[in-house]
Amino acid sequence: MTSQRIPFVGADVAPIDARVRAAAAGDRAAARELLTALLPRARNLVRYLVRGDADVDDLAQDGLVAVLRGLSTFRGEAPFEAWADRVVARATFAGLRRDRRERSERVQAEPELRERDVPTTPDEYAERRRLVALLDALPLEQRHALVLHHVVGMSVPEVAEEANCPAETIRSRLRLGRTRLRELGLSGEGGDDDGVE
Amino acid sequence: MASNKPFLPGLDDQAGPAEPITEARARELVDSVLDAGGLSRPGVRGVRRVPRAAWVLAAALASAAAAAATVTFRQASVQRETPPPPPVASELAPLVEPAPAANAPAPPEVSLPSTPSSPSDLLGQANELRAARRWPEATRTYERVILENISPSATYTAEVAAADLRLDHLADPRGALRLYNLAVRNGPGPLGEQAYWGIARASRALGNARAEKAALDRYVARYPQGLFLVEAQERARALAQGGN
Repeated sequence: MTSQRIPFVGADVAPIDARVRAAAAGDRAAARELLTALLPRARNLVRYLVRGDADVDDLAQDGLVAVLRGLSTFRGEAPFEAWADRVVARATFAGLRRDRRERSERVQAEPELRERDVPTTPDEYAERRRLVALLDALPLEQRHALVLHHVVGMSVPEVAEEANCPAETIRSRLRLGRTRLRELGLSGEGGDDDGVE
Repeated sequence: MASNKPFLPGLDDQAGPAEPITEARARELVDSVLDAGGLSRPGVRGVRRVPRAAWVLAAALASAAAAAATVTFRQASVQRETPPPPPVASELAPLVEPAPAANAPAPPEVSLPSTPSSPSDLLGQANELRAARRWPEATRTYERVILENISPSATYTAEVAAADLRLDHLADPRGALRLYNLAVRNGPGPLGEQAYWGIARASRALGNARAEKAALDRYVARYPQGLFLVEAQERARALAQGGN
């Protein structure tokens, strides 16, 4: 059987995974494979975006439901995972807005960032846990701008569009967020070049 | 000047920052997403690639069927710290069975276990009754799940499913509205979108344009990517312009 490919705009973009098409056509097994592969990525992205671990699975599920429902709109102009990241991020923001009141009560009840909350084991997982513990100390607007720009890879104008605010506001949030993270001890030194988009 | 080390790590195959979960937990999460997304399990009537207009009519029942069959998703993933209080019987209106339509085919018989032994058995029984188009019995069975308050997730699922049946098949929008409100009160959950949409539909059926408009506005605000977003926006606009 000849595999059919959905054409891409960009030549360097990998061909769309057959699972995407099968899942979009309602194939549960294909959708299961696809979502199983996406789940860790979605959970990690949500954890980058939200404070604490309590809501990660709920919001990741919301995001994956949005991915599943939106599969038929995926045109392959970008890599599937990049598209899915944006859908998950958008669904996460919608979820945060939706449950803003009850979630904010929970967030306010969370303890302040303390030294003992920051693991020091020098492996990648521990490093990322330490990083999100630092992110938890940032205002959400700065955090979201940093994650969308540095983790998801969105340009400043794209983040601005997503956040529905001017690009300069996003640049300001990025600057403030990076400064604060460095004050808290983040060692990363990249990321200061987003003013030349 | 950027260094080799990215300011924040991108998304990759490495673990973290989310806490690790077991494979079983991952399977549970994915199954719940598939159910909530309308890809039903074998044997459960699902909603697949049907025109949007048909979605509006069928999605409420179909996605509830999928969710009812599994009793997972958000309720399974996060145990409620305190289970919701069981609804009192007075919150569930008695069923008034509609007169059968002329020439309507007789609903098929379903063989059911006489005494379901678990929430999923009872929900499964309700699902089978609904698949057999035995609306009043299916509704009663869902409401048994609610009254027995077997588990928060089962109760929540049954509330939405019973509400859909009362609204769509038993001509009881008032009873449906009570159940949708119970579900919203006990949520949020995977059927929240359906419940909010149901409140709008039930309010419309009751002729309460003000409540319907409020419900539509809530739906649009909470579900900006919702399945019924376009319909909700159009209907809200019509109501705002004085339509009914």
